[in-house]
Amino acid sequence: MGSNFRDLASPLSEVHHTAKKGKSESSCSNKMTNYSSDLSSFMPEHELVELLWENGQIVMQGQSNRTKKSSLGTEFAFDGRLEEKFGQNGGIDSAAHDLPSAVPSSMNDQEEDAAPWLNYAIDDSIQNDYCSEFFSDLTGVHMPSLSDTNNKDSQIFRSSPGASDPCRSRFNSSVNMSQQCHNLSENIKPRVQDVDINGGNSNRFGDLNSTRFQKQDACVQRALGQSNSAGLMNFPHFSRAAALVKANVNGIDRLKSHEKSCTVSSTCTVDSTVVESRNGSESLNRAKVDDTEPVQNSTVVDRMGSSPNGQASNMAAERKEFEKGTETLVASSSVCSGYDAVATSNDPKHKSKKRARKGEESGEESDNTEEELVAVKKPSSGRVSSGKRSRAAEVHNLSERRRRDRINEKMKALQELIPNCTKVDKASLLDEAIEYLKTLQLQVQLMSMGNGLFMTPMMFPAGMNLQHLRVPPISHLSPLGVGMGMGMGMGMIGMNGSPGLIPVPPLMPVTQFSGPSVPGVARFHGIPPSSNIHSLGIPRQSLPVLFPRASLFNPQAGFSPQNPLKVSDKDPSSSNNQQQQCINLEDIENAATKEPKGQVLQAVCPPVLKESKELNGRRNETVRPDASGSKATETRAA
Amino acid sequence: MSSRRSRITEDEINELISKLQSLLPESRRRSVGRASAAKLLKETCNYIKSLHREVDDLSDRLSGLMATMDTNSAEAEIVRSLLQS
Repeated sequence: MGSNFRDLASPLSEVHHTAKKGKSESSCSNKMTNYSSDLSSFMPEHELVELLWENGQIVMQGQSNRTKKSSLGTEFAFDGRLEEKFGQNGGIDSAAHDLPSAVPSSMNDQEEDAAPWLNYAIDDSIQNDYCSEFFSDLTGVHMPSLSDTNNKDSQIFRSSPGASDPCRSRFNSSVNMSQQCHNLSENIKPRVQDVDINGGNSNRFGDLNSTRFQKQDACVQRALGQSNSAGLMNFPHFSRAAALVKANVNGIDRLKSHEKSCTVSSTCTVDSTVVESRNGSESLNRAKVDDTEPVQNSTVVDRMGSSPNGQASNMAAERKEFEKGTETLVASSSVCSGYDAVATSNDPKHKSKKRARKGEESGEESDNTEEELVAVKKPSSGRVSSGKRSRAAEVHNLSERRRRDRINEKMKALQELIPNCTKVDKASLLDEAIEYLKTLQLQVQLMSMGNGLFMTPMMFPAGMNLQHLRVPPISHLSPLGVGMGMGMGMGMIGMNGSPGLIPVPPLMPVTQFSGPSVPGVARFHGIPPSSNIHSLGIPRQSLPVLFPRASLFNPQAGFSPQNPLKVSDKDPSSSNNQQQQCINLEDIENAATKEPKGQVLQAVCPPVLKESKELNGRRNETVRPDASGSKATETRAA
Repeated sequence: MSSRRSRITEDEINELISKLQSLLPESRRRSVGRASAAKLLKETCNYIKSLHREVDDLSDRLSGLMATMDTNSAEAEIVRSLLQS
């Protein structure tokens, strides 16, 4: 690389020369000279195709240290080389190359001005030093920042075709533009010279930049419009930015490539400025924008050296911008804010624009909508046509809205509870909820029944295990009927003292019992579920019927016609055992609430019946429908 | 705007809500005037949750019960079916 530098140095010197030639101000050239030397030392390690702004020329140097001297002039050539060094990545090569080539010779003059700082950027080693210097001097060339970005930045140069990074592409395009600008902006006065690199008089530079930019705008635009062969992206944003970009690019690239950790802030500023410039691309177009642009850039530059003309900085900023992307816009905006009034004025504008674009788009819109909503309300009241009325209406609306929101919220919760619910409208959702609720209730009921039944030992054995049935609680069931094994179980369940129990099943079978309560109960074992169901179906009704029978086993049976469920009244001891295990058909009971429990059970029965049928297909269905039915009838009648 | 319910009239919804209310335990006794729909919905949610819990509980018990009985017995089958429901 050192050799590269040396190589660069020569071009740099050339640049200087050229710069001197074209420069109206020799200072620049001097500076350039200085810088050139620096640049030489800068030789970026990374291969960066930089837009070297040689005197009036943009020289794109590819990675291969190809000093492509565009027509722009030696300046760029120099830079180009540096670029190469900068950016090891060859991506930019093309871009860099393009740029230099694009740079019109006319740019030479301009370049001269720019060159100085450009040169600075090139030199890695110098970057650090130069960067600060540059930037201080250069209005917008934020070398350090550029360098910071490094290769990556340099890559921006690389007109990597696939420059995914818009910034980069922009950069590239900017490079392109710069080239073109150079070409086009022959007229650009070599104000670059004005750039007081050393002294930080970016004025010159700024002037140059400005002029250049102006001219470059065209170039840039063109450049933007054209996609470099390298694949540089067009920077539609930059009309003027292109010009700035060019300048910046040159400087920035160098910076980047150099990875000089020059004031990062400057970088930021550069970015910001770049961003600004980008945003202010429009402004760029405007003549005055030039000022702003530079100002913006200058903001960056300011850091470096409060150069009023932020052109250099602009360029750098722009470059940064490219590199960093739009994000910098925001940052830059912030950065820029601190700068000259002009700059700030411009910047803020840009920033605000940007911000408006970015942040507000997302957030504000929502806010706006909200505000609108609020506004809607307000106007309603604001109509003031009828103060109170409108207010009342408004209040009403608000409360209504709140109420609706609450309801919707609950509905959503309900929807979540219901499995496989795909309905979204209220009515169907409610329908589903109702169905589901019924299903759940039934399920619980069944399970309770089964639980109770099975829990009770020997409740089911086909063979009448009357022993179990002897359980006092079961005795209640005895009257239920022989075939009602399940019924018995159910009966027991029903006997659970808890009123919530389904009085059904146990009660049903009871009707079957004619014999001793106990024996009768025993018979329940084999009661097919279906019969139970039956009994279930007629809990209440059967209860009364059962009672007479139930009396067999338990006169206490709390099976009052009205309260068949009060099994607990029955032999507490006996029934308790069963009760504990009885199914808690509380929910069913609850469902029945105050209605005659029979009804509830009845409601439950059908489904239970179905269920039991399924469950016990084999159960002998000794359902005594007749009995139960008659019982039911009786009960009903009762 | 609320009258926008062309298809789903408010009445329908009210009716559904009534039905729901009838299913809910204790809800019958509630104020004749339906409690606010929101409350009702909330009750329903709670009720469903409690039913879920109950079902789980019963399932557990049935499972335990299953373990004690002869798996080939009819009862076991019943229990199984219950559990599967």
